[in-house]
Amino acid sequence: MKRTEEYLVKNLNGEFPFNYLYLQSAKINVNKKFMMSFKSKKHQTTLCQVSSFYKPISLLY
Amino acid sequence: MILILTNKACTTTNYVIDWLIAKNAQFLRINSEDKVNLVKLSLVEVEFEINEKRYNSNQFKSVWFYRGKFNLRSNITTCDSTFQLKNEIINHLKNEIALVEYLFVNSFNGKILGNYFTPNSNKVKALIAAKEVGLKIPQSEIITNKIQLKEKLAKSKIITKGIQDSATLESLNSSVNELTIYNNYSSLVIQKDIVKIPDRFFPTLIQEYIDKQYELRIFYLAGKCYTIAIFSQRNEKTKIDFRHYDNENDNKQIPYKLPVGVEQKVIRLMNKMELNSGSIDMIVDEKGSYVFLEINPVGLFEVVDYYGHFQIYEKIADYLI
Repeated sequence: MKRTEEYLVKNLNGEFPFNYLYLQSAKINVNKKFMMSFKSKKHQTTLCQVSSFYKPISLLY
Repeated sequence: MILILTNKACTTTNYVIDWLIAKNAQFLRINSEDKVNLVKLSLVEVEFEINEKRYNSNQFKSVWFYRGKFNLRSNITTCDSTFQLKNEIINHLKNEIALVEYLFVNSFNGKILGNYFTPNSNKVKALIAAKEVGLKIPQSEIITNKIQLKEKLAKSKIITKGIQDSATLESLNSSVNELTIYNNYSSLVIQKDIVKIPDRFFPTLIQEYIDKQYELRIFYLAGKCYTIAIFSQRNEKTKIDFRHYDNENDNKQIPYKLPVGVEQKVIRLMNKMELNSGSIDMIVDEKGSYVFLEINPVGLFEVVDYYGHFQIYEKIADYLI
């Protein structure tokens, strides 16, 4: 990670917008990220069949 | 049937799909990660295959383009890297496939939500259009050298941000499965930073900094505005850009009704930009004026829905059905 930050600073010689100076970083555990984004198979590519018993999650808000 | 073009990680789409299922609507979700095999492409219809099932563009009565692209590329990168014409061929085929993509997208005749060809915000174009419809905008300029920057900074406080979108740069450390994401959201330019900035630089957008009472996040859907007010000004961390979230001290966010005149200008703006959905950022300055900042054609609306209780997911489902 340190190498990337050095790269950004070293290359601030006119090739980048000056606002790269304000880049902020955040670290994410990749496994957790994918766990968060993956909900269930029924939402993925498929021709979905209907379930009349299904309650929309949005109703729970 | 309804076609949804998105990406595998998009959870927003999941909530709309929840409603489609509840309302007995048939749909096909295609993610950017899915390979789309074209079978036949005429000027009026397209046949394609996904996961060995065949579809015709005419069978979709509505389409939602949201954060996805059709993955039509053939595997052209595997050809021998020593082959002299490799790059020329790849460039030529990229142009060819772009036209195929255009024909493919335009073969859907039903109701379309979202604009496939404008997934990114174009801040400059949006600012010009906003001014034309009568919305107030911040003084904005694209500059290329430090002298211009110093001149602007001597006159007023300024912020800087991406011309199209903020940069999102990712660096993966696979040994510990850790991803570092670099972002440059809107930032206030500080006098002491000037020494770190080179004399000439890549064209960079600057805008006058406006003190605000609160900011507005508007989700626009087919002629209607769903708005929340975000009281980000009181928090040093979020006052420049509320996306610098303060997780320990959340900004207050409440549903908000735009004045009719402002709402009409927003509708005219979206029509001018040929967008029937998108997220709009505005602020209300200390004098009570409404100032337009930017549009994100595929902006997230979870926060607007959560704090505004608008049931946006259901409204999108209803629009598509």
